[in-house]
Amino acid sequence: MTSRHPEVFERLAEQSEEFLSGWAEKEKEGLKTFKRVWRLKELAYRPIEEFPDLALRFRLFEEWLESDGLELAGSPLTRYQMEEISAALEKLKLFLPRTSDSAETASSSDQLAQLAEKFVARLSGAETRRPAFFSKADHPPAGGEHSGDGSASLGTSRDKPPASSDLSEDFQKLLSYELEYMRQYRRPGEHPLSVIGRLLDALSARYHLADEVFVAHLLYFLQAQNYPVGPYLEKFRKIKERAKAK
Amino acid sequence: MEETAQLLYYQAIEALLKKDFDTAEVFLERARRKPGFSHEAEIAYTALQVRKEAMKQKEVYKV
Repeated sequence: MTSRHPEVFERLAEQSEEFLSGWAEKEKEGLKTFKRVWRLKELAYRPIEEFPDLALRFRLFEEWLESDGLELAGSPLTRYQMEEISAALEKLKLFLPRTSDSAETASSSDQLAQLAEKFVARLSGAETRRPAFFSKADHPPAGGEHSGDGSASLGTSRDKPPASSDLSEDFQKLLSYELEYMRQYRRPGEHPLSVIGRLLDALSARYHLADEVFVAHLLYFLQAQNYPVGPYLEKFRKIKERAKAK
Repeated sequence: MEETAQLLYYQAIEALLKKDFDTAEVFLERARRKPGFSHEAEIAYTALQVRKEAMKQKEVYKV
């Protein structure tokens, strides 16, 4: 049996290493993006006990905006990454009022909110460069990406897939997105109501048709199971109304 | 911050970029036990297993 020759195994090991090195090269850009988002998340989620110097936190955030943030705004991002960034920014914005109420801190809070808005505007710019309603997917598939200018909209042509696309296929992509989200991004033991809560937060920050359909599916399912979905439904309606008004 | 499958995957990628295959395997081994272990991570992990087995067999048949 030829495979008993050690050189055959040596070749196989070398080929595996070549494959893995190529794989890592291919993932280099993803790694950069991941690190940039990670640094923002560290600024947003690091507890006050560990990092009490708020002025330093803001300064680092400002630096992040000018370096990593700028790079991110110019790169294609997945819907999930957008959601992570939005959540981190929301967390940063909420940080100060929860931890201090001094005048100085309040002023810093305003400054931070402005910076965050500035960054979101940049991200919107990045999204305009994203090509299609169903753009190339990473994690999870970007089932509901906007085709247009990155602004929230509902029931307008900007939210619709290109005329040539197949509606059934688009619907299947939405379902795949929901399935992958539940498989990969639902936290262990997280109740579907909590998933709805997270999706609603994401929808408030940035409107996506895929998330709207996803929330609607979950709400309908839970309602059929006699769960009290009233408050979620109400919030969902309000978010939709706001999106329509834009 | 929480050690996620995604974080471990990218730590493995960093190790692979330095050709440190053993460390990459350790990260992916840990990532496998986390929710959200991706298809990409599974592919890289499988390739690392192939490499490890090939190295092992090479030593066995060298003797």
